[in-house]
Amino acid sequence: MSESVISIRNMVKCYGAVRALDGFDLDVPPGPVGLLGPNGSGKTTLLKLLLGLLAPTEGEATVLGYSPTQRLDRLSVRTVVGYMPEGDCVLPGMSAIELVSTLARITGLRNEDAMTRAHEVLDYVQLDEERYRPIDGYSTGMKQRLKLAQALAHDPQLLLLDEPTNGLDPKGRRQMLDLVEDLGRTQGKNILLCSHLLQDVERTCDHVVVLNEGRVVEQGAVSALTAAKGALLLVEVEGDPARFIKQLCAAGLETITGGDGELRIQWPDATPDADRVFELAQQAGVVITQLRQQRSSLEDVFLRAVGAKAPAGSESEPSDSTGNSTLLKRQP
Amino acid sequence: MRASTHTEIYRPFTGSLREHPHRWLTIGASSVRQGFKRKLPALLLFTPVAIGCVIACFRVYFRFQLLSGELVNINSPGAAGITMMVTETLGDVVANIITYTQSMAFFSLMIVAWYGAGLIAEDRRLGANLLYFSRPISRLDYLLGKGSGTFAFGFLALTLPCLLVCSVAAFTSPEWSFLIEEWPSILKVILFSGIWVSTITLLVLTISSLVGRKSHALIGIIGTIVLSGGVSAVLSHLLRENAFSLLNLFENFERLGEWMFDRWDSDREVTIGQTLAALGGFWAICLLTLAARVRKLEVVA
Repeated sequence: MSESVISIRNMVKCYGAVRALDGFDLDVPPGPVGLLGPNGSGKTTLLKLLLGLLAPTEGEATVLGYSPTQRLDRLSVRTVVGYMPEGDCVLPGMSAIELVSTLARITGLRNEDAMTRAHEVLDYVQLDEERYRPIDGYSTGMKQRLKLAQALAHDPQLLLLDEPTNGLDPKGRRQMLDLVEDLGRTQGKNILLCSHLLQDVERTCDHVVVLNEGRVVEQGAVSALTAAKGALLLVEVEGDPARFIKQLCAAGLETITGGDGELRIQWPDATPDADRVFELAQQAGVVITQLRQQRSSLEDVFLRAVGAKAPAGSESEPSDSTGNSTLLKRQP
Repeated sequence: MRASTHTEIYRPFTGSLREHPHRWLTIGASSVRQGFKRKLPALLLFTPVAIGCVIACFRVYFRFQLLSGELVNINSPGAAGITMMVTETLGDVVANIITYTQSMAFFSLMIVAWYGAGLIAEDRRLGANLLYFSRPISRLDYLLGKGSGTFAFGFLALTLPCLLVCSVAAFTSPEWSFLIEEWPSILKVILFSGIWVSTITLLVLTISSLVGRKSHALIGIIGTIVLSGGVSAVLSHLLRENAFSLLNLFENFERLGEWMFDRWDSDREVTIGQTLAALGGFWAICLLTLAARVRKLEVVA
């Protein structure tokens, strides 16, 4: 097995009484890795800790062998890492070419190299003639691509991307995901993609880490996580679904109700028995109008992981009368 | 529809990084470049400085020319009288240079304030601190970079014109006499202007680090100067205690100038030691504030 790109041990970060990161261990493998979590789960805090922009309350981390908490190592970390921040970040009054070349020079590139490199990465993110215009007039999509370009300016070994598709329209989002996918899968870059958009991570990453309330609640290869949980059956019924759910729970099956009234049955292995489902429906006195199988998606993995830890009253909560199954109500 | 070209592929960087890249110098140079992008403010702010410099150069030039007798024949009785009168009006060359240096202090403050006010404030407003500090720079690099950028404007506004006037004096003086006899004065002029520019650079950056916009920083700088001068004058008048003049930055520099150029007014109640202590205190407050604020820029919550 290849060595971890990022290694974290007992990481705790407190803001006053709030524990943003609640003491977890994590080893991030090489390649594109998604860092998933609901808002406020500690994703951005973790990225800033990895860059040494924040000091941990407890614990330690290494990024490509350097410790961001050590003063000298911190600068080394920033030399081998490219960071794309979440918010609008620009150097005042500059054009894209000036911004990228200036930041490349600050990282240590020679003047000529910095200018050549700036043009290369701006070509790559497809900022054409706009690169000579002041950034103030850029659209959100252009600003996001520019932020990616500046992160790539020194050809870092690891890219930390914080919500790269934030605020983008579908076309811009597709462009950004194409770039991230190319960097991770074709160019072999190590990427830690921080997002709350599951589709983005599912499309671009091979490995996923789910954070919730400052703890790692799930991690592993996307293929393993989605396959290991068995099959998912989508069922629509006529009649009282509560009785059907009770019947399913009694049979030891996990169920999830969607906002649209669709019922999902989590089958424990990859080969669901449809006849058994029909049998249980008959016993519950309901008629199945539609039954189809869906492979467990990252969304299900995420909901399960986050739902298991979600506090009462949040978007996911255990609510089954029998107490045997976990009923997750998804937001519409 | 847009055609794909060969340029849209990712190219790994094949060069190497510099071992000692002087990152602060890049930040400083970038600040100067950005400052001079807008031509109108540069024209308005540097025109009075340029005019003042030209006038000072001509005064120095004429004085040496008159003394050397190249402009008029000083052997003729009428001309000698006129020459004496004009040279007296023009005054001593060193005095001219000192007067010029002190009179340009206000303009240099305006220039440094205009160009330096937004350097930290706008970085924070636009999130540029995250871009800077995700690079391998220390807080000292950042501070030196912003400081050198601001100092450069002050240097262009005050120190460079002073050097020009001194150069004219050196070139026009007979047998390089000005350079040979008055070199300590030249060094003092450079030192005095350097201290002044450094002090106002610190003031401007400190206020810039405390606020979130360039306009607020400009108001803060002017407010600090006016308020400290006003409070100092009112307290000195009301309490009849001249020590309050130590609160006034301009008065402190007036005293420092008098002391450096051996023109100390013996009637002054405030000593040079007190003046230096006041300036030292001002520097300490500014540096401590800047250190704390720049730390906050890097360590972002």
